[in-house]
Amino acid sequence: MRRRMSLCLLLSGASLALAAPAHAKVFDPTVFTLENGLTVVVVENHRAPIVSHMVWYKVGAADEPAGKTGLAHLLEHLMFKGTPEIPAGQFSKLVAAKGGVDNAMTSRDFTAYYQHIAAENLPMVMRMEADRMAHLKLDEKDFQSEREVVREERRQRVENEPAAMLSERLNMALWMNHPYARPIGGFDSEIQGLTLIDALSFHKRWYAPNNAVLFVAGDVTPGQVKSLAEETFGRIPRAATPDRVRGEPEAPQADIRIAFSAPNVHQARWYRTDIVPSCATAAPKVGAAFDMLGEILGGGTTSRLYRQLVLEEKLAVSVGAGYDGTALGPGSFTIGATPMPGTDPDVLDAKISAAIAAIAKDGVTAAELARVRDRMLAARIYARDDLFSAPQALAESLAVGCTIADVETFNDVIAALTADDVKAAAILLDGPHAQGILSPEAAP
Amino acid sequence: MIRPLQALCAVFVLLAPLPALAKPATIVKSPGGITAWLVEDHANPMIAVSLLFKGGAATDPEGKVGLATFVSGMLDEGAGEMDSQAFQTRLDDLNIEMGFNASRDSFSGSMTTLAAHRDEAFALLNAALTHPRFDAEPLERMRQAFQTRLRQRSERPNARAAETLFADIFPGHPYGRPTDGTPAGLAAITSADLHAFVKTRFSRDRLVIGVVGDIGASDLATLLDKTFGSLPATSQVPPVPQVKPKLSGGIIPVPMAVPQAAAVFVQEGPARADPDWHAFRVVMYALADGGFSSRLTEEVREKRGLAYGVGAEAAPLAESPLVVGSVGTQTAKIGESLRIIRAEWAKMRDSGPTDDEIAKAKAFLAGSLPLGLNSSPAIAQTLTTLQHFNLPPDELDHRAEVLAAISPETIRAVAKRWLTPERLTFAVAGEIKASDLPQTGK
Repeated sequence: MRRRMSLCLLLSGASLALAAPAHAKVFDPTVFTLENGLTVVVVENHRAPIVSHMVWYKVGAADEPAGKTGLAHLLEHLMFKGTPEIPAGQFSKLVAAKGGVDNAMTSRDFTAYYQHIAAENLPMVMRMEADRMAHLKLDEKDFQSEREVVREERRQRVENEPAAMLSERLNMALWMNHPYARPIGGFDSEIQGLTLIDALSFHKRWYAPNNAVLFVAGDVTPGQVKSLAEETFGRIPRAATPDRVRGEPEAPQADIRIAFSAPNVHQARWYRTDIVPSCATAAPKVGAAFDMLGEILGGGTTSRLYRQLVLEEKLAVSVGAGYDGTALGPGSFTIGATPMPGTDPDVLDAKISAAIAAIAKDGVTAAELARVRDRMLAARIYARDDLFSAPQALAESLAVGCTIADVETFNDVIAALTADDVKAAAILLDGPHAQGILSPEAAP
Repeated sequence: MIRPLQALCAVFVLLAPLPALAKPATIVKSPGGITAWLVEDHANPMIAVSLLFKGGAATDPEGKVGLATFVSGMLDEGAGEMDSQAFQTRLDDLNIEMGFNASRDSFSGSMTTLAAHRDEAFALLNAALTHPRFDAEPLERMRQAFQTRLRQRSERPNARAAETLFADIFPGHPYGRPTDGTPAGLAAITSADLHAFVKTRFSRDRLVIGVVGDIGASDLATLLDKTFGSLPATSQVPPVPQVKPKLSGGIIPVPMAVPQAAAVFVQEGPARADPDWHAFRVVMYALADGGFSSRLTEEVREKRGLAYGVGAEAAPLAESPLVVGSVGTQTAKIGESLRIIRAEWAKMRDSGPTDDEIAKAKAFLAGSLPLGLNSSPAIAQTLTTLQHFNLPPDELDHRAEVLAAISPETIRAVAKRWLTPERLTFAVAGEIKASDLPQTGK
């Protein structure tokens, strides 16, 4: 059951070990802006008579007022609770009655809503999405019950999941005063204090055409999308939404070590996260170098760390690394490992630090660079095959203040990357860092 | 101004059938007698292959529970002349994606390749299926990986509840054992067991294949013989007996220290080939399988805020078709969720779905079919699934007509025939007390 799931886990939970969506795609999008400031991205794909329709708002958990964590995510849920035209609870039913599916997700920097549906129903979902951008209408009873739903969501996805609990604490220790320290779904005590007025003010403050990206992929032409967008979203006036400034976090002055255990932890895990540049804070080649470093260190069973820690030294069952650079603020680089029973996590930490230091000192080989580069470039063909998920990278990039070019020219940047670029990325990791250790409770 | 939306709420009277596959599947038969369903599509220079052998984890020998899953993890860990690293490096270098998976009733595989590397990709697939090495190093490494996965799974209340429930309702039957194995079963598996599995399970008479992408029928025919022609014509898979689940209608507690209790519940359901199948899908959509359009989501989540996720769906296991559902609710209120689920179940049995619910369910079940066909691997998998259930290539094209032809009266009769709230059996993982739970349905 995946209903209205936020991206909590993607950014803060179990998938820590396996982040790294590679964005090596060329989708050839058509991009234009309506008079009211709404950015529109269209990717044509006529293989099947279906469309993916999404609206990405440039607001996320990192934009919540102090003491109101969980507000962006709660509002995401409440967007299904009605307008004067569409009564509470009817939105998803209307989509389903046309054979469509819908959902939404909240991240640190964006909140996105989507419908996948037969292309002939695109006008309907565009009207509905535009309607709730402008006319959200909430009732106290619906608000109260939905607040309980998001508390259950937190229990299910965070409190019941030891790896997610660890990740929450690790993020807080790492990001300190920065808004990325906050859990995307919020703290339970703060969720309980959220009010209907909080949600409506947050909607009014941030949900406007000039603070959103409309994304349509599938069996449709840019011309059709343009005229539909003008008839629907185009009628919503521009609003004065705040500028978003993320700021720089305090750099860790020393290593951070968070250890977490609970009665229901049966298998140890180990994570390391570093704050690094993002697409918004550095040139494209810096992010590409971190992508490549992630592949070389932890991309599959032929990577450096897998060969060393899993195959040769048998200290870990699995290991992976990945870079998340699609962020308004800094990005992050995460390495995750599943230790073999009996492996000392501090030994794992030292070995991985040494592997990073080795690249920081000696760089990577020409053969490694070539192999990984070819693999990343070939991935574009597969990405173009996938109608629903891959081209979203375009809209996500715009929603966090990066550009279409960051996605579209990624291949060129990868192709031009040198061993020195990868070495420079490793140098940025080679210093104080944060590790998180999840371990079973010691026997009493 | 936003245009009024009332017009969109009109009840469906006619279903608009959509072409499910943009291009029709053709049946390709090789000179050597191998059959595959092909959707030829030259839009992108890539090919996706899906394959499935009937017979899965339920055929694992006693004492070796987890064998099929173990094999699924080992086929790409070295084959023919290539050891594990050589095989993995070749896949990586050619950007070939290859993976295998065992379920209770089948063993499936997928392979995606760029058209440029087509011949070598099929050769690697052939090597994996016919000459896997099962060397000692990857064997022990994968054993650790699967044991690790069991430990991680045992942290999740939903998985614990499901495992306990299946063991309880299928005592002494292979369906009562976990597909991913047990610590003892995984520990006992040897290289000889893996070889025996491959030799006795992978045969042409049990194989179905789906292919999508940049390849023509005659090229595919040649590759089918090269890739699958050397598999034995038939095999000796131990039969899995038909079984009736033992449904007490009670609630099995699974003690676990978690803040949210997870319940998994089950009753019998129709087989995929049962004439009631499509009508029953309509009933389940309205009751539990329709997301926000289902009564369980409405009553448990929307009205009362008792859960983030709640639902149930038909699970057509070959030897014991079921309906399986789940819900997660804070410990103190899990009993209320279970009471509502049982009450809604009874109400649906007694009165069936309304005409409006039936129209909407039919519209979704027919209209949503193309959404599953959004990538080449997804289409290839659909082709093997259709074959696995002995359905024709144009099955999806006629779904709307098939649904339209079922009367509301028939659907309500099917609800009455199949739904058995008094036999709905639950397992609940969490820190639950007997007083938190409702009386059993017996």
